[in-house]
Amino acid sequence: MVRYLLGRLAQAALTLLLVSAAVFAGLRAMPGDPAVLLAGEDPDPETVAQIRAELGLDRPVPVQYLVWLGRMARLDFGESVRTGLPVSDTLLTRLPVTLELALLSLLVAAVVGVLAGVAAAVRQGRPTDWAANAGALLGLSVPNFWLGLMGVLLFAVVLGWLPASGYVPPSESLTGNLAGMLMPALVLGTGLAAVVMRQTRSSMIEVLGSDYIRTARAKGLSPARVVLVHGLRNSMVTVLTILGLQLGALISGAVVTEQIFVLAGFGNLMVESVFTRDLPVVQAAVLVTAAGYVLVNLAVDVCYSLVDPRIRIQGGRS
Amino acid sequence: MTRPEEAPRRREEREEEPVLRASGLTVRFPGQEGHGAAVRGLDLHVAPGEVLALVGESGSGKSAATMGVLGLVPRGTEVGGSAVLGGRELVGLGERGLRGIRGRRAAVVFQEPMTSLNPVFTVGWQLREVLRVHLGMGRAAAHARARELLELVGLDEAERRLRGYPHQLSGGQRQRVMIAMALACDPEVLIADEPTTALDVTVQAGILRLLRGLADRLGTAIVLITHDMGVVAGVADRVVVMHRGEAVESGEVGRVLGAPRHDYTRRLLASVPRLGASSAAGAPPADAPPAADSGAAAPGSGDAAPALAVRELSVHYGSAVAVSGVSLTVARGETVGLVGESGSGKSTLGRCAVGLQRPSSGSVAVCGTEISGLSRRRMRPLRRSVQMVFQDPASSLNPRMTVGAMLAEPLRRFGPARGAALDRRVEALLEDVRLDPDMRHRYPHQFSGGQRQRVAIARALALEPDLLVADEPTSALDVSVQDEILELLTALQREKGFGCLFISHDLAVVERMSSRVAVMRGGELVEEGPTTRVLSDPEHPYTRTLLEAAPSVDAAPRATG
Repeated sequence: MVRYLLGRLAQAALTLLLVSAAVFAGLRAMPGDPAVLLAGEDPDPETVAQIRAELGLDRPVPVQYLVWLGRMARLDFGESVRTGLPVSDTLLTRLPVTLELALLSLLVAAVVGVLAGVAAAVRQGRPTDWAANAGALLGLSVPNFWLGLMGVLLFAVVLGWLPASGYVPPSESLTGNLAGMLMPALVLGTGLAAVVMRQTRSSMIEVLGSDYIRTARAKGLSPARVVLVHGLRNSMVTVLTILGLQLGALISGAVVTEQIFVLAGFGNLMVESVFTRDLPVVQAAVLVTAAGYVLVNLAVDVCYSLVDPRIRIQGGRS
Repeated sequence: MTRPEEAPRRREEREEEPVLRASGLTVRFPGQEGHGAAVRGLDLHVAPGEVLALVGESGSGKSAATMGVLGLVPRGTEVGGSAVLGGRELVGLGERGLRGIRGRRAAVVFQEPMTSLNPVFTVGWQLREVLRVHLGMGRAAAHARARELLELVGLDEAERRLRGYPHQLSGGQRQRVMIAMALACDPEVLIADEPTTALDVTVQAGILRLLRGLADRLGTAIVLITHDMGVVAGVADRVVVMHRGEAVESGEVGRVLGAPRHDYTRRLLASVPRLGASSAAGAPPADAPPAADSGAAAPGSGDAAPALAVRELSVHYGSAVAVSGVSLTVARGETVGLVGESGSGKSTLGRCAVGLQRPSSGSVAVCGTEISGLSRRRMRPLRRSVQMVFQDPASSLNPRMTVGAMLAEPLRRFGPARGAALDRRVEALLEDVRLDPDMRHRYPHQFSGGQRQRVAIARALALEPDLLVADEPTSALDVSVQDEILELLTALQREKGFGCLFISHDLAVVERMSSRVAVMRGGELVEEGPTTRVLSDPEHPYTRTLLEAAPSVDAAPRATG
């Protein structure tokens, strides 16, 4: 198991290296010179050149990359070009918001998706199944921003039950925090819930046709026990995979959702920074996001072995 | 035992009062409205301590009858008539009522031990579950009982097994766990649905002895569903023969097997391959000198290389040894039987012979050409000279291709035939395997199991190979169908003169097909020689064990008492 984990961590490091190179190259290829933007209205070429020299932008791109990589390795993210504040501080204030949003959305997606998927599989071909599939199709096809706007209109403007926007830290008020996060989490979770439902359904249908389910029925167990104890755990491997892989979709969804609900999160930060060519912030944010993605998927792989003992044995040998 | 005081009373009841009695039982699956039901008007009864065998081929309704009674059938299945278990009518009891019966008063052991246990829970957890659900036992009591049950079914190291998972057990051990689970609540009836079909013969013998012993010791009534007359002869007291949903004959085992009254029973018994039958009947077909290629016929004759020559072949998977130093020759026109149990390496050897598996060391030569070191590309032209027929025709034929397209594919790949000539060749192939040429437009699912295997044989013979490797080609088929397929293979070999490596676990089938036989165990070849000599006078103790374990129809009905 330890060898397996070490191998996977090495793999993760390589992935992050590739991501960092791609991000760095991509941002350098983008039109728009940060020095020109910083120099203000109608800049004279000398000022621009001076700013470029200060930021190290006058050096060749590979050298810039290596310098930046060296700093990253020491967890020195540099300063924001726009605000002059350390990038790490900015990231740390923004991270909790997005993390909470992502976790709550994941929870919504897992609970709604798994329950609907199980119900659809058990009642395959009957109205429950039909309704769950129709709901999933709707969840997949309705864009987040539209759903968000409609939610704001109904629950904040017309009914006045929930705040329309803003983030309250849980340290200030837990209920205020949850009230503010409820709508964004539901909006962001719907698409993922639909994907999870489809996967749970097909995986459950397969599991419910297996021999050990027949054995469970022959043991005289109640239908609920057969499905939820003997069936669900066997279909969890597929569902976990989907949850891990869909995290990427969740992060890109968070960008839009944070804009609508005016949440000062990671997605919001990335959009702002791209527009202002605040390269240190964009690079650091993307890298942290990628690291989170890689780690979550590693965690998912480790979880497999908790769910399915057959994987534990093989993982132990490798 | 939880109810020890009942055991003696039950044994006295034997013969007098059946614990399970079905009368006029009818089972109709959804979609069978227009056709005959799966089970029609079945009468049967089984007493405590008695083993009743329910025999029939696939589709005879033998499983449908028992599963229908317990409600383990697809939704919408209609069950009619009557089935009384210990004074309680089961038909019409409803799902909730049946749940209290299943696992508690009537328990089931299924055919597939490898997949019948839940892979994500420990053996102990699965055993305790039944005890908790039905008897409300606490954890400690359930654990003690689970341990006792594993010992009852003859599993050693019970404590360790309880903590382990199903995938850590062999097929036979898993089947013992299934039986332990079925016995957990001391049921009145144990329904064993083909409990040994997926197991090796030596393992099968142990499981059957266990079931017989349970009936004798615990007084459990056992309904043994099987297609295997040898199994029936070995353990059952009485037998009911089913055919197309109806019981055609029933009675004491000795009487039914010895003096069958119904024509179907007679036909069924006649198609069962018997050890020793071939030699008794005179020259077996495979012993006859092949008509074609007579020059290359005899093993060792110098002027042509044998169809297959394997020298010192070894195959390793990582540190595991699948085949170790095996040498074997198959001459053209000759059939060599390869016998062994699961894990003996016989299938790996077969895969090496057709180039599907790369040997770790040793040589494999087909018609004098060494194939073991060849690259994929260099192997390709040789593929036409070696072909394989697999066990499961249902899954080894592409479901999305018509049979005609499937047969034409290799012809187009290796031959010049196009258009009408190709069509004629495909038709001829179907005729070769005694199928109607018009069937070439059909898809595999439109064929029966036996017909599918004929198609698989036609596909293998399309390129007129010099060597045919048949890996358990009839194991998934009913005995009467098996009989026809074996007949076909023998006839085709006589016509075409290919060499055949016939892999099987069934000694009687091997005896019928092959002139020589090789016995494998644990990757090694333990014995090889002329079939008649090996089977009548085995040199190796393992061959003797295999012969003794093989269930036989002609075995004396078990001594009663």
